Amino acid sequence: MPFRQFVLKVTSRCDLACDHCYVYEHADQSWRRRPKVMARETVAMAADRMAEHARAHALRTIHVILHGGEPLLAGHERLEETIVRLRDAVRGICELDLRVHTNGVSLDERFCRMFADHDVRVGVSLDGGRRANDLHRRYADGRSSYDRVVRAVDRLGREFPDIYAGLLCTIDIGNDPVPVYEALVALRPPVVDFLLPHATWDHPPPRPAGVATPYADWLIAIHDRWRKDGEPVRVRMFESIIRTTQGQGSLTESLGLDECDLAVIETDGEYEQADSLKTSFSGAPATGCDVFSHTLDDVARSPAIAARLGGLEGLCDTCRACPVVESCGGGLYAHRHRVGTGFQNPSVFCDDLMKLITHVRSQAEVRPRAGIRVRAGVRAERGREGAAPAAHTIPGPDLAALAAGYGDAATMTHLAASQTSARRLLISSVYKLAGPGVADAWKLLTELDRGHPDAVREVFDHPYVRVWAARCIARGQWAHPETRYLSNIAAAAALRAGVAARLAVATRGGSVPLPAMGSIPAGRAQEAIIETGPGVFAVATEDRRWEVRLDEPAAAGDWRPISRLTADGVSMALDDVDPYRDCYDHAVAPRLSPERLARWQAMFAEAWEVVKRDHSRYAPALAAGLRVLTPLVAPGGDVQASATARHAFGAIGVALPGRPDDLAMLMIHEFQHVKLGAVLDLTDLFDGTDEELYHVSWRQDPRPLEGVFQGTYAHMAVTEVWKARTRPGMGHIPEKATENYLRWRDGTLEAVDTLARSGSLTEVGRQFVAGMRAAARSWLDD
Amino acid sequence: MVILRSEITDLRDVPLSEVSELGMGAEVRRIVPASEDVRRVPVAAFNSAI
Ligand code: SF4
Repeated sequence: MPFRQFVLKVTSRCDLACDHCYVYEHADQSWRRRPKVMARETVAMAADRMAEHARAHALRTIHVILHGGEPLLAGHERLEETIVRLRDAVRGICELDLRVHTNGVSLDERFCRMFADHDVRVGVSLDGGRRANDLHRRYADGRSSYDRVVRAVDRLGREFPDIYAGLLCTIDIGNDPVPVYEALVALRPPVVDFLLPHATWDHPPPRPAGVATPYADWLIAIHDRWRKDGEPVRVRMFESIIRTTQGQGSLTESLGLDECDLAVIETDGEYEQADSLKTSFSGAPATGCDVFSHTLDDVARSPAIAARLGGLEGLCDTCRACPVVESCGGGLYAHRHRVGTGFQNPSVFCDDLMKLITHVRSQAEVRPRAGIRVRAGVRAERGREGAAPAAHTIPGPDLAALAAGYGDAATMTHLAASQTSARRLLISSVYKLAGPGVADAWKLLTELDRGHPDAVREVFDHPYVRVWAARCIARGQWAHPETRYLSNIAAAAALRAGVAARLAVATRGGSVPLPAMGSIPAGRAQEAIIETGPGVFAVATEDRRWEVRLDEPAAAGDWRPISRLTADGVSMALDDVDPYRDCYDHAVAPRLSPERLARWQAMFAEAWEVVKRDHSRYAPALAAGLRVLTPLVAPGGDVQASATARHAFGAIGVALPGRPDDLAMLMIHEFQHVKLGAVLDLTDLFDGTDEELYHVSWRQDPRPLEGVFQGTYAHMAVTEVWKARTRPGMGHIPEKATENYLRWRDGTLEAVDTLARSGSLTEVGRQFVAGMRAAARSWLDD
Repeated sequence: MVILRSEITDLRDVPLSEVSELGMGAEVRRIVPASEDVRRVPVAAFNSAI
């Protein structure tokens, strides 16, 4: 297995003298003989070794952590040189996720600015509030480091939030856990982790007499408070327990069964294993290799690394038989050590880990918190007053139909229902993000949700509303101007409900958009006032006013309602006005002229006939689930363009092709992505942390697993379309159609096998791919 | 195939005013993995850094 994570020890000394530090205070004292700062030649050689390794293994991303000692002691210039050298070495080969982990005492504005300029994320060690932190994290002369560190972290959070990676807290059970948690959360870190103190069976951790699991009890107190607070921050340890319980990868080497893909490079260029092993015995992390004489593949073959098996195989019998082993994985490797049996033991924190994992798992089961009132009487079968809402489910036969590439109206109803919930959640999150600025819109929406839920649902379910919500959430605190669009959503819902409301709404690109309805040009105005009533609304800017009656849209010349395309048995919107339809990889076309719209309508009606007649297995899901078509700019010549966006469930983007059967093919192809995207929202089919790249026949460049999944699923349908086209009388040259069919068939079969062999599928993913494979292999029976 | 119990909570009948009160940050982050505070790549799994 290739290494993907590298810890670069840019210095071997520290300006603090924390008495719990594994580098200086534990068994291995190799720091004494190493250079204080990594030499330039060593940096250059290390960088080239990583680049060589990334190229040899086609790695998409490598993670490098600048560490020490205290890395900032290298000074501003040397550290910047190191960063630039690393980035230069891997440019064009792979992405570089670069981080620095510091004690924070020297983290001045100049360092922050430099890290921001080079996109280096900064993690800081802090053990809680002043009292907790001062217990260990002091200068050699005993002075407290607390004020300097908190000042630095505060600056990081306020001025450089983009590079603020999080806080790392070493547990001391002498501290009160909840105040530690509160002190850390007050610094608004994006992620927090709690480290168990370094210990082995020969040097066990401190435990008060009569308390069997003090570390679990300490962490459980924090966990329960964290959940009660609504999980305001990510906690790597808790998240890793939940992820590993669900079959995903752990986010920390101290939990889970993932193999270790980490190499440490010391200041003298020696490669070592994860350096927490310094606690075990002197020389424990050594590999006998260095950057000057050895490649990273040499290191992987070194006896020390090769002996450390990943997964269950590497664990002792007790751990292998343990009910929580998927999450625990025997704990941190170093914590298993005992003179005599080496690492073939459970963790010295075994009892604590067992109790903590069991507790976190049991609590996660009842998420979300109980006591949420379900809207009474609406759907009696789904919960009574006071019960916690359940999770969406998909019946087995529907999931099987989806895996085979199809699905029908009922299947789409299940997917759409889960999307409705996801949208309610995301839109509520945007409201929480935006706060008082959209209070009026939120109040209106919550009232409409009580009295006119269908109107709210119709607007929320418009595909591009989720694109907007996801954009706001992704931008986090920078999203404020964008969040004002919530007013437009509320206004559209009021209008659909026929309810009288008055609201200030946002403009986008010179228009006032009303999602799922249309838009009205607003010139240069930044804001407009909308008044809604039954079947009528008025929009006023500073210098103009429009009144639109929905039953006479043409009378209000400027109103650009969303058009509808209809064909035998189907109807869907043609949305060429929504500002958030720009979510595709292709440029979207501007508002269509009436002539162009007529061409779309004619071609759509013919394409639908093709779908029904020649590709009937795809028709039911398309008819039920495709709500919106958005025209894309045609690339020119014979080139076709079509696209989907993960957040725009129910919509596809298409440039009008020359022939109806091509439009049919593009709709079928893109709708596969829509269906699979909704399944991936419902559950993980594969481990999202798999960074491997895979080859597929239809792309020159290797693809990440999600790309392979999406491509394969879509090409299952493309193969079947070509198969249908091989029949005589289909308007295609049979030999050419056969050639295309065989090419897609073989490429798709191969890609399904690639998925099956990836080793990264979840249990549901394995079943889903087995279904895809069975469907694909049936082509060989013909 | 067995029935799939998904990771999306059914919120259709939960009043909107209460949805925002739920502690469902993890579910939001799962649906929008690009959110600012979350990257879906493993945050350096190295134990002694974050
Ligand atoms: S809880 Fe104990 S026995 Fe179970 S995997 Fe962890 S260390 Fe091993």
